[in-house]
Amino acid sequence: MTRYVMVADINRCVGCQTCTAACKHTNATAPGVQWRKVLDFEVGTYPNVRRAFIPVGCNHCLDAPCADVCPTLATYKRPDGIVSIDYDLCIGCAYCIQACPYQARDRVDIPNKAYGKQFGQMKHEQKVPHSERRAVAQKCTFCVDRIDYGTANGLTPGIDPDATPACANSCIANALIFGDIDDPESNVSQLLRTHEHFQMHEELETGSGFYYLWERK
Amino acid sequence: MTTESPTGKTKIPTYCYQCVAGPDLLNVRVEDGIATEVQPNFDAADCTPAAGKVCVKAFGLIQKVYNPHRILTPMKRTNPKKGRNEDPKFVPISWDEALDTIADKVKQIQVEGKTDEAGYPKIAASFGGGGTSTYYMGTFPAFLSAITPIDMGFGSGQGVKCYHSEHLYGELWHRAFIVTPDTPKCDYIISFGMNIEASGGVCGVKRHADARDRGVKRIQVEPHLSQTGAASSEWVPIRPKTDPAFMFALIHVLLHEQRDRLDKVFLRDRTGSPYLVAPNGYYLRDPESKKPLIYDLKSKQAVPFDTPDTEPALEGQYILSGIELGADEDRWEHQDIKVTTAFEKLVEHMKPFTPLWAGRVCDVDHKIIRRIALEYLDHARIGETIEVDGRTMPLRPVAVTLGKTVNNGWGGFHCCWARTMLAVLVGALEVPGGTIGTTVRINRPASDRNDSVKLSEDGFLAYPMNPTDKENWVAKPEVRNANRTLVPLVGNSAWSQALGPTHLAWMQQEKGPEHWPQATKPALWFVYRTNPAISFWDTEQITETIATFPFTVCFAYTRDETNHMADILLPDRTDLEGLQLIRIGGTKFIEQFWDHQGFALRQPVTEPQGDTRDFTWISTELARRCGVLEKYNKAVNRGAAGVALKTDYYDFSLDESQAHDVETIWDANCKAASAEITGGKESQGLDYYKEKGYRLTGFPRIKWYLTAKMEDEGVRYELPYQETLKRVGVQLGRRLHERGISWWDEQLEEYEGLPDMMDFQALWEGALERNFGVDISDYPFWLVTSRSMQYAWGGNVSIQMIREVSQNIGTHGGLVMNTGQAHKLGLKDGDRVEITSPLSATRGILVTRQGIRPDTLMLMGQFDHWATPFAKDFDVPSMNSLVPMLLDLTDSSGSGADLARVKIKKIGDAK
Amino acid sequence: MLGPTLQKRWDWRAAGNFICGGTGSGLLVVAALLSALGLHTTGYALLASAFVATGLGLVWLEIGRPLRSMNVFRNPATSWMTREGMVAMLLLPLGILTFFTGSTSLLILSAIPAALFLYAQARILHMAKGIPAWRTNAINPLIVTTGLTEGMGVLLIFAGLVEGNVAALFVGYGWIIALSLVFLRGAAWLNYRYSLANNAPEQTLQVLERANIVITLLGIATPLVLLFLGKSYAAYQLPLAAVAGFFMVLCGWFCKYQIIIYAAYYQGFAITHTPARGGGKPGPGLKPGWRLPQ
Repeated sequence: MTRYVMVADINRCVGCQTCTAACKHTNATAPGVQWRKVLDFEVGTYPNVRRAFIPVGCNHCLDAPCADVCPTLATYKRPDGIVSIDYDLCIGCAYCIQACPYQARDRVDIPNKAYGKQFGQMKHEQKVPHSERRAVAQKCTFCVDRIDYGTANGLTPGIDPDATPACANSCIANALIFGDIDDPESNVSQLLRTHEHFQMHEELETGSGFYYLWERK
Repeated sequence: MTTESPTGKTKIPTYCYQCVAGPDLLNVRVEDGIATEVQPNFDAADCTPAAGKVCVKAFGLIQKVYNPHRILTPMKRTNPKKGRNEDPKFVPISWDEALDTIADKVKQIQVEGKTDEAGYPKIAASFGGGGTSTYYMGTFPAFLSAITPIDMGFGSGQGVKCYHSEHLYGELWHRAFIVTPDTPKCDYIISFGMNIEASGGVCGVKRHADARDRGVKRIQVEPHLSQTGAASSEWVPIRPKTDPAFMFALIHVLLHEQRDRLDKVFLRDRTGSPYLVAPNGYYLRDPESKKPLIYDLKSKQAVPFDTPDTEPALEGQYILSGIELGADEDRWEHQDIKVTTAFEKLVEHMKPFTPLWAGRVCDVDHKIIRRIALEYLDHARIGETIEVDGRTMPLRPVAVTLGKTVNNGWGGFHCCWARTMLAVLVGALEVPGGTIGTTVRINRPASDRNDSVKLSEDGFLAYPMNPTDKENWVAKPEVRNANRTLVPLVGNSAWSQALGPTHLAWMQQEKGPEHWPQATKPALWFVYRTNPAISFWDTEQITETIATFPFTVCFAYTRDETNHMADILLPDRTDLEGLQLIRIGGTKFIEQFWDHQGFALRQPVTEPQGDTRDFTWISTELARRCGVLEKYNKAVNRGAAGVALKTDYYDFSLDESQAHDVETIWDANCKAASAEITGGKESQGLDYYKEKGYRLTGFPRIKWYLTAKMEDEGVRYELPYQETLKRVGVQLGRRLHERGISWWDEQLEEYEGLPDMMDFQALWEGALERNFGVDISDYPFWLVTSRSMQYAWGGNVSIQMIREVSQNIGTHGGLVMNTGQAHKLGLKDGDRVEITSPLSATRGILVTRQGIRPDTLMLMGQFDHWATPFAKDFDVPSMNSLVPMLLDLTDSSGSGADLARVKIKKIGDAK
Repeated sequence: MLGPTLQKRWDWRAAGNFICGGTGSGLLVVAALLSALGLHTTGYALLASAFVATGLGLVWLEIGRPLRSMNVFRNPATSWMTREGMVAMLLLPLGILTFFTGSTSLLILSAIPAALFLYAQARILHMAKGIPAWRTNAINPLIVTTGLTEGMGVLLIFAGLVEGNVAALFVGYGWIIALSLVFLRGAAWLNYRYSLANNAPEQTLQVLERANIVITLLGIATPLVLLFLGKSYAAYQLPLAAVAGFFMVLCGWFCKYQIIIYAAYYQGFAITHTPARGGGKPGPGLKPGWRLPQ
């Protein structure tokens, strides 16, 4: 079996938002919509304060609450663990948005205009309008087209750039690592063996596919 | 089945050099001629330290091309009145009209005299981005070289915003315009305010992440918890501008508690520690050879420093004879006087600076200071070696780094000296794992630090100090910031003007100091990739000054606060639209020390927007219209565009009598680059680089460190004692006093053999009280700033995506204040506040955070825009409008520091 | 940004579905129940259907792709929204048919999809794992009891329209049922709040705290008093029943509007550890915006 997951080494992450920007480029997301972003956490009270940068996005859960609630089957779980959306089926009811405990989903009803209505769409916004995504649910896809291309062409997702999500490709700290957790020898499996890790909102039992490494074992 | 890769069919390689932490290579995905996506260039993954990746700023470049706010045609001003509140009434004009207007101005200046009545160049130019604008201005440097002299001294941030003291003293001591840890091998870093995670670029971020992964311990000493503090093992919140005390205490612990554990071999052989210091503070010298003396423990006598087969004494006082050579012709002959080794002087000098003392100054527990000193020593692994490129070198994996405001302005000298001394005491200077330099800008040649290592008569690294002797002192300033006149350390390289006291150029426009030529306005001012009306200090005053300049030509991307006063706006092509070949690799700024070196091409990835023109086309046209085409072409042939087009083993030089098109010029440069990189064997031109994007060859790692060259040439670092500086200072003082100038006296005090400690906080407070007649206790907070990785140097405030993603960083929103302190004052997150310094006031939103000292406030980045589209709606204040330009707060290197005292007042509730 | 933020995606239109749908389906169930006790309540079936249809219409106005709305029926296996839609397709024709035929049997039959509809609405909120104020088990009895109470309330308001109904209500078990529903809803509300204590974002708890006063006074105490008064003062039974019904309905609508629009803070983000940076030590985590670290 294969299950693709994302691992964030939060010892490495510096919150630069390069992944955020790379995701916005690759997926041409609307202004204000970030399928991947990095949060800026501050923990403690002066002077005993810590600051941590936490990449977030769709957790591609094993027991995906979004897929359970979706009335149209537009959101579905693939055999490789990726939670996908069939934009043509989705009615935009936004129920999945309410069901996601990771605030990973959005719905955008208007075409992308980064500088607002009065300036219209820029050329690159016109070029990749993604009109199929208007008024329906959207979220991180793990750049699924790359995964499919990669597996069809003998590439290893998480290793070969053409088969790896844009955020992991772009991460300048190599803090985001993508791979197959069901393969014990994969990059992610090795990292999870050698590091202490947590998943966000583990108590909600979503079977999150997003792991945070916080200390080397 | 193989389908087309979803990452795109057409990817065009280019580079990003928006900040000094570059360059980085990237690909741009293009769909039907439209640039849609920035991607890493994974072809370069193995040969670039950044692994072929670019940071968040590069992702702004696509919106930069298609931004609807761009200026797309040349414009001229039709409202002769200039000022913030004057509408410039720009109207579109043709390129012919724009360039002819500028050419007429240049020709008139050439005919009527290139300098004005004060002796200053009539033409001035200001470029931003810490020199990175060069990588976007094509052959413009060749044009400028054809119309010299040019005053490059109107700074847009240099001196007040750069690592100024580090630049000058770093170059002086170890050819380190920029100082860095050898991060790939370093195990312990004490970082005083160095925000490497925000300013180190891809290379810096990746290397430090790798270092953390292998367990590097980095201590961040800083008043607020920056991104770097966040990513450090420990944060030590220190009182602003008290870093020198902390560092002096570290040295104290090493010298007075752990002296036996220091790297005495390094101190003895590679530094001036054994040199004997005579009573007047100069070295005791041999009367015959005039060489400094050391005391040889083998022969029990003083011998010249370079006498073979000696065992120089590191410590002790000796009764000896010899001469002492002071400033100018000062000379003392000594018989049996007591002299002290430089190291012994250091030990004595550092005695009072105990951790207990420093703890009180810095508001840091003294136990922490001592512990850090001991950890530093423990990690230094003194005595261990490592092999690099077949040579055995010391391995000293400890380093100290300094950030802005720590390494510039008063105290900058102290910190730079202390940092270098901390390396010297454990033998960690310019060795694997230790503190190294990455670039030279004042010494020559700039292309190779190792080649700039030259032995001085006294056995130290020779330094191209500006003359201070009677005959050769540059008494009459050559440019308005008087760089060579006032600051011997800036040397006389292409960068030296920008390294002068750049705020002096601005300050004098309002009121010059006594006995000084009256500052004049440049008759023609070129501005590119900079916005001093936002990025300098006292921005209101700067804006008013800019408005008085008679003729300003701005290369303009969008309207902004500086080009609001321009007479002509020239829209050049943006990063993804222009053509240029640059050198990459070797050792460059910040942490850019590579295993490769070579060239990279920036090329148009998409059709240029509007009637914008390539910078090289503009430069050639200006040269032709100004009648300096031949000089311009000569400069291009000489290598002004990056590569010499003719050498002994190849010749791709251009016909000097003709104007050449952009592609022809860069094709010649590409061919020369190919020839240079292959020793003349190959000569691929532009087409090759357009396809491949870059071309590299190896760069030996041994060149990351000066050690091999220093050892081979028998050169010493002039540390700990500063005889050269002391002499230069005395001479400079005499020269100035001979002209009746006493307003530089405080700066002269910094030229010391060993730096005297000062109360730097009091220095700031006193200067503000004196100059503004205020009671400083009415301004209870220190205001500091911090780097924004998303914005720094990028000139990208009008890029929506950059704004959007930067908002994810909590400290971007406004004035950052300690949560507890805010609570005490009845303030809460989101409140609207007025921030007032003795100079002026500004307004913004309060952001409460735990990670900042209660006595300190922080404003990130540089905003406060009022003309730049999109950015003018941010409502984010900048400290630049609050910081005064004051001579009192200018150090001897001509720099100041981003520091202010402020008070705040609530003016509105959180929404 | 880190802590729970208020959901903005479902606005008054979505709330309208829970309000109208709950009231309508509750009304059908209560009407069926009371018809079994001898009241003439088949007339309410049309009103109940209209309520349900209005609610669904409001949702239709809110969804992004209304023309594809038929896709809503594609996931009966796990989606309560699909199930809600499906039972509505039974409920509506049965309700209308009941009205026109006046058949008590049909009324009782249509109460089955109505009950399922009401339960489906409860489960829709319950399955919204992103919103602590919704996902608690205690949302189910609350939504069901308030739907039934609202239905009872509507029935009381219009009880005077059918001769004998008012009197029958107070004579027979109807009165007891109304009291019980108010009481049960009160208990469900208490249970709901209790289930969220220390288990929901701070701001959610604040909203519910504020709502509690209104719900306790107007939704529980007032109808109870009015119904007892009605029992005691037969002459005023009609207005007392109507006013009691009004408060029963109003409180239910208020309660659902508060829960769906104002108390619906997302889970927010949380970490269980801050990382060991380099050679440093790891630190504690943080769950911003929650009363107790969970």
